Amino acid sequence: MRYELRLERAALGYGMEPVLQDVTLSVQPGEILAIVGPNGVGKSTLVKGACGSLPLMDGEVLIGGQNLRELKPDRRARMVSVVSQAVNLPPSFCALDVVLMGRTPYLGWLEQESDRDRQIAMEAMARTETIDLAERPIGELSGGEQQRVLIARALAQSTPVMLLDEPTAHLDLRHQDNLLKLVRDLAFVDNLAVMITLHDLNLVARFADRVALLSDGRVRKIGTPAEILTPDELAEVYGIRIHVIPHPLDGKPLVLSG
Amino acid sequence: MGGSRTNASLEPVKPQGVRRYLPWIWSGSALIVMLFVSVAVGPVKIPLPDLGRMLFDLLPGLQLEADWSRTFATIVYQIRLPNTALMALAGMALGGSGAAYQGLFRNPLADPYIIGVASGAGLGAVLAMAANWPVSLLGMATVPLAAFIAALITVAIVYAIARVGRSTPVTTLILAGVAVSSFATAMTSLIMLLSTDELHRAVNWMVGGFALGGWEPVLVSLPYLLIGLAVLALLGRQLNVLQFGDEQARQMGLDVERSKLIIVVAASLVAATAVAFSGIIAFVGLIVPHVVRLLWGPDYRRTLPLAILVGGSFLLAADVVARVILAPRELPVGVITAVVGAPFFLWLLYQTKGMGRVW
Repeated sequence: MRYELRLERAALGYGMEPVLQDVTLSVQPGEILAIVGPNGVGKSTLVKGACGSLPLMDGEVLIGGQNLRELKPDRRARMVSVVSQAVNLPPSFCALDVVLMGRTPYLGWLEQESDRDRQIAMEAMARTETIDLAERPIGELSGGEQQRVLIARALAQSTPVMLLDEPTAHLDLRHQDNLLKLVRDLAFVDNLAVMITLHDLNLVARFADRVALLSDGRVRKIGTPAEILTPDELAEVYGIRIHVIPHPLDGKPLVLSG
Repeated sequence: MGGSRTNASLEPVKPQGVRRYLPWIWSGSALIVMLFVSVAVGPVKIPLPDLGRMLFDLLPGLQLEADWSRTFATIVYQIRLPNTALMALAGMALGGSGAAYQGLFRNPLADPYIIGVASGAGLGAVLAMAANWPVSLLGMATVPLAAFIAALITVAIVYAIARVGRSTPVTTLILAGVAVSSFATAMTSLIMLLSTDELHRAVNWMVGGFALGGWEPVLVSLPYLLIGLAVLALLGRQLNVLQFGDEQARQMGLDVERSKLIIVVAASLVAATAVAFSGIIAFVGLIVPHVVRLLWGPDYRRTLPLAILVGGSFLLAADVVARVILAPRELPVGVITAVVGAPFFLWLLYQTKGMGRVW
């Protein structure tokens, strides 16, 4: 079974007016699709729609051919996990308890976590190098550590599709880099289909396989970083002058404003 | 990644040995001690050996020779034991529902009194009493039923007003609670004034006295409380997940709407039952869950049952103080909980300033 994520002519929004419409895209297993676009264009809304926590106004989300709309919350959460920004976390839960909550979709109403669930949670923590933090309250952890704990929680959900919403927003350069390398590894090793929203176009150039550029409530273009990260395209979407030069080391696009 | 690879084993970490059970041992023994103290304290002094033997006599399989006085037996079996049981149950209900409301609203200042549920339930109860409803309807006691329905309506109104977008900020929750609560209290006063013959009893009831005596209120409220408290004690895991907000909880696969509905119904059921039989007792549902969280951490699977146990002992302790502090006069227990609780509430509010949330 190939669990690709597909959005078909999806319209997303909160009131009557959709924020995004006619969104059609797909993410293959093992692939990282980056969602980029100006502030307020609807990147986070797209994540909420793609995981089913925000009902679509129109269109469909399919994972492995299964329509998310037809699935109950727990079944949905076995298909797609979400790593949100590490803000407003309840600070006194210890990291292991947080990761264990990733097992929620596999537990019945009155069921408690089994040793196997603990095992899965600990493995997820080992892979995100958070195992040393297991007993620490998440409120005491740094932004980068919290974000890794949330990735471990998503991993513990054991889903074929993972969505990440601005996971690097509050991280310094080194932690941004480390985090995206981790995501890269997970997509490769677990054959995860990964959709990630990012602000930093240079991180997109380095870590994404494909890029979807959003503007004016629509998907403007989807393609490889080299195809999307061009001065003309970006200048039009972001409304400023943009230069793109090859990275001195690997030749990937390097985006500069001004 | 930051730091070197760890060699920590993948063996699940579990709390070791007896430490894991300490909270249960502490709160369980505190409740037993307070039950005993509450039965022992009163205007008539009953010798402790007699009292002890009278209590042991209740245990199944033990038949002691009843050489204590008939008066003592009546006082213990017909007055002190039922009053103590009802007080303990009310405390358990308030502690449990307070913990549940705090988790549900993700707000440390939520408690059945502050969010207006208690006053709403009180209005329902007084309405039922004033309308002279039959004591039972289809086998259910009508006063707690009316209190329960009014409590649900109140919590729905307060939540709808307090909700800003997808969260319930401290300020709007308190303001909505105060407003709705004042309205319910005003209506209650109005009804009580219009039915003057019941006024004295109703006033007593409002500040935490008992409308009825003997075993009847205990037996009538027991099924409501057992069901509601059991549901709350079992849904700690769902409350834990809800601490991450509706959005993340949904993404973790929790049926958020259903969980919240079940929890709010169970919490309102027990809070309303406590109000119907013990009057409006403020701040127990606020203080107890806080103390439990401070002592034993944030996990609702522990917080909820522990808040139920500690709520029982706390209210019993407050009641004992209320009975002895101006002896032979007995104060309503609500006076004591308010005197302790109001400063605690202000301290919490001060702590919350600028944080939005305490825990």
